[in-house]
Amino acid sequence: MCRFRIEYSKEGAIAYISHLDLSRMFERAARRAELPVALTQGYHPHYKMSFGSVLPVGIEGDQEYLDLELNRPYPAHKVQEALEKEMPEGLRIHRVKEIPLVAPALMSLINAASYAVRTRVEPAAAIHTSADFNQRIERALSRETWPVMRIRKKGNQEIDARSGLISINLEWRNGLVEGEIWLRISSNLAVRPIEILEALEVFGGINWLYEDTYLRRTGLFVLREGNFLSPMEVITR
Amino acid sequence: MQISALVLDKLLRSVKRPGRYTGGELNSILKDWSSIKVRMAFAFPDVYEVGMSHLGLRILYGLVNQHQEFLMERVFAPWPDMEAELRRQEFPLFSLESRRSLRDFEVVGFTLQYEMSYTNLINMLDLGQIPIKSHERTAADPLVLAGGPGAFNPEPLADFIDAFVLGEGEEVLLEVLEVVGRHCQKVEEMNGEPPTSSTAKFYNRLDLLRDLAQIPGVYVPSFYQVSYGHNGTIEQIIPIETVAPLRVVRRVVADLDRAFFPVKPIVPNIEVVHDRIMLEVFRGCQRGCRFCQAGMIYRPTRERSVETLHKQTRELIQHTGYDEISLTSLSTGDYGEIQKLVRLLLEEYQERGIAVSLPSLRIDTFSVDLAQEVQKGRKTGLTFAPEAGTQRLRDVINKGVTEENLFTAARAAFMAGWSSIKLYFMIGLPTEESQDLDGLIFLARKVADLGTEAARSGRVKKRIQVTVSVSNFVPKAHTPFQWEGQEPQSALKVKQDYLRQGLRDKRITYNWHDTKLSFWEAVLARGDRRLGSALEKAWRKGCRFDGWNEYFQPEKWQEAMEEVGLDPSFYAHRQISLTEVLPWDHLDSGVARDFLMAEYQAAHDGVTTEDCRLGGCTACGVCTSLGLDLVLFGGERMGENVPLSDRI
Ligand code: SF4
Repeated sequence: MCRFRIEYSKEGAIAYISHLDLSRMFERAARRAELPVALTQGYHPHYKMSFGSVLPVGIEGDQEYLDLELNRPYPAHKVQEALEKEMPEGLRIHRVKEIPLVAPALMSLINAASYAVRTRVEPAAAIHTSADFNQRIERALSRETWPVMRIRKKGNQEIDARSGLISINLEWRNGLVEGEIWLRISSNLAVRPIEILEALEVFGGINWLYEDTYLRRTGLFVLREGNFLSPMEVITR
Repeated sequence: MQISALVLDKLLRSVKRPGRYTGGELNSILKDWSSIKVRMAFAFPDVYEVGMSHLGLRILYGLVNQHQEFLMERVFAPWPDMEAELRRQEFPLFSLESRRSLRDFEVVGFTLQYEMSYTNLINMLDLGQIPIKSHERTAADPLVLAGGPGAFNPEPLADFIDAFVLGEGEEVLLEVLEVVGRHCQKVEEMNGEPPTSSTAKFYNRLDLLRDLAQIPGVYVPSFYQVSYGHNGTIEQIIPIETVAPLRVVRRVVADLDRAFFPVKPIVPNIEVVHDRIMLEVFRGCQRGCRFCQAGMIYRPTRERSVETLHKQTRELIQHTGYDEISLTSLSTGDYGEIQKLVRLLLEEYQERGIAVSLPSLRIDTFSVDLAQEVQKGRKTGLTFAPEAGTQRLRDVINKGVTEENLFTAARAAFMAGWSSIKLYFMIGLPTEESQDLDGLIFLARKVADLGTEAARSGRVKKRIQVTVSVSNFVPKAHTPFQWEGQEPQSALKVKQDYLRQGLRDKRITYNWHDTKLSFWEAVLARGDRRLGSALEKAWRKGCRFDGWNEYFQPEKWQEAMEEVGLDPSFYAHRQISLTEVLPWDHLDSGVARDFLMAEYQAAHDGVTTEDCRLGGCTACGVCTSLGLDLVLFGGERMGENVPLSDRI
């Protein structure tokens, strides 16, 4: 048995496939590469494979993570080569590193994410200067909570988007807005970047042109004592 | 016109399941357009998940793209949300590979798997900026082809399709593309440059059709004239072009072992209906159920050898990475060496977590044993299709299954630990009476009882579940029941209600089919070319995805028929006389009309006809008229050493 941590990116049209489809894609790639992936027990054996954090459909990811278990020793660079060859258009393997079998799961390690944002403000919002824009951001940030509705199939849920926000840095230039959003990820709440924009609309009066909004997840991190560390480096708790 | 990545991204953001339109899947092929002589779009008139599950697409895609001078790309019916976006932004329907408009291709070929996809076909032409009517197209428009089972009664589509291909595409398509290539070449030589989407693709459209009509198996509907009598029936169908044959004969692949089979099929990014390796073990079925079109138009049975299949499996797994191999055919239990094949595959793949599945089994203990072998611990449910409730009616439809077969198989399945069994039946069959419905109820209840028994003895752990799926008989062209009318909806509904009452049992789940849908299926299945105007009207009224419950609008179909002065009941309900000219009489499936008539008679006499692979040649005519040898069980060849001329 051995375990590997894999860093990859998801770019272009492939961003439009769901997490479930993505995990099937990795399974098939591993099978084509003839990697001896360990199987789970039971009637429906599955590959021992676990992901860091679900990437919302339609969003590209620069640094995403996945752990894979093989049932016999294998050099990490061989795993990398084998997978690289089998990746479909839009998926790229960056790094593969062997990690201890007992290392905590990615899910429990990763607690922060950064997103790049590129969007536009609706002309009707009547924002004419960056000072005005910044003021509105400040106004929203001065509130302690940002209650927003999350629409779900089984009943809507009110969440506090503010509690998931680590920091925000957006710049306005003639209606075009670019910048970064840093979010907390925890087992009981993972605020989506789009919910942050919604909250800024409600509490800061910034109306976005959602169809012109592009988001990409630039990284997933282990936030520890104020430092954003890569899950490739921080293996243990 | 080519859709840019940016435009695609915009479109994808506004639709459901965007993965349907992205392309770029593993093993998809994007060729350089400038180096290609003939570019063809394979058009599937249903949504991506359905189309990508179709074996024919996989075969033809691999076959055509193997050739340097040709290319094939894919296009599927856009879901209504995507159609709305395309129309709103005035973008054409585009192929998944190069994202080009349909009209940029020299050839657009549809597959006709289901009557209720015909409005999608018209819609795709329109969205692809191709005139929907054949006679409106110019030399700058693509050649529009269609094939598949629907081509055996293509008449409702005669206005929209330039040429139909009868029979197996891998046998004919390359010949068609060669001819198209010659015509493209001619215009290129004249103009000194390759055509663009607005200039002529062919030198002369009529000439092209004339050349195509001379390829055996190609049917050009505009070369035939249909005249009608007073009572609306067909008087005659005659060719009006000298090159058009009196009868167009179906093409078949003689040796499946030598036929092309794609071992590098596209692996979809999103989950599709059949998301697994489809290993085609044989083609055709000779059991001869009298309602079944597939059992007639794909004759004779042609098997692949175990060695070929074994080799193909290895390559398929290597190139796709799938974790399931499905052994497909019309009736996989009938494969001569099924046991050997299954053992071989299990031995090699089970340990690697790759499953084998058998989608179409016979009703016998042998099949249950096989299923047990492949399913091991995970018992996902078994399906049996007795089709009718009494022995009398099963003899009428020639379903060679007895009550005893069913009970023995069901008992064996429950004893082996299966808790859920699915039973397929059909109602509205010719000569059906209320006893037959009682018989159906009896069979279903008895199977449930067998389950309860097994549960009592502790063999089954889970709750017993018997699903009874009842469809409505739809008469199909080129079958012994092509002359039989469909029962009126009111009568079918009474029967459905009766069954619902009779099957009230907490172990039984009863499913039935919408009678309205079956009715319109029958109209199109037996329709003539006058239906073309109704089809167009229905499409203009907004009919799309008619086979999908949420989009089916029978009132619109009714209106469309009324507006063009046609009576749908004439097509669906009428008992057709044996002497009448049928709309598909000039199309030859290889199965003799005499055989179909004899089978029709035998049905009414309650006499069965055995599978010719078991009981000797039943003179359906397919082997002789298509020039094939039939391989009997055990590898013996029929008619061996007898010259073809002596056999006719
Ligand atoms: S077994 Fe009967 S229903 Fe099934 S494919 Fe053969 S002829 Fe058709």
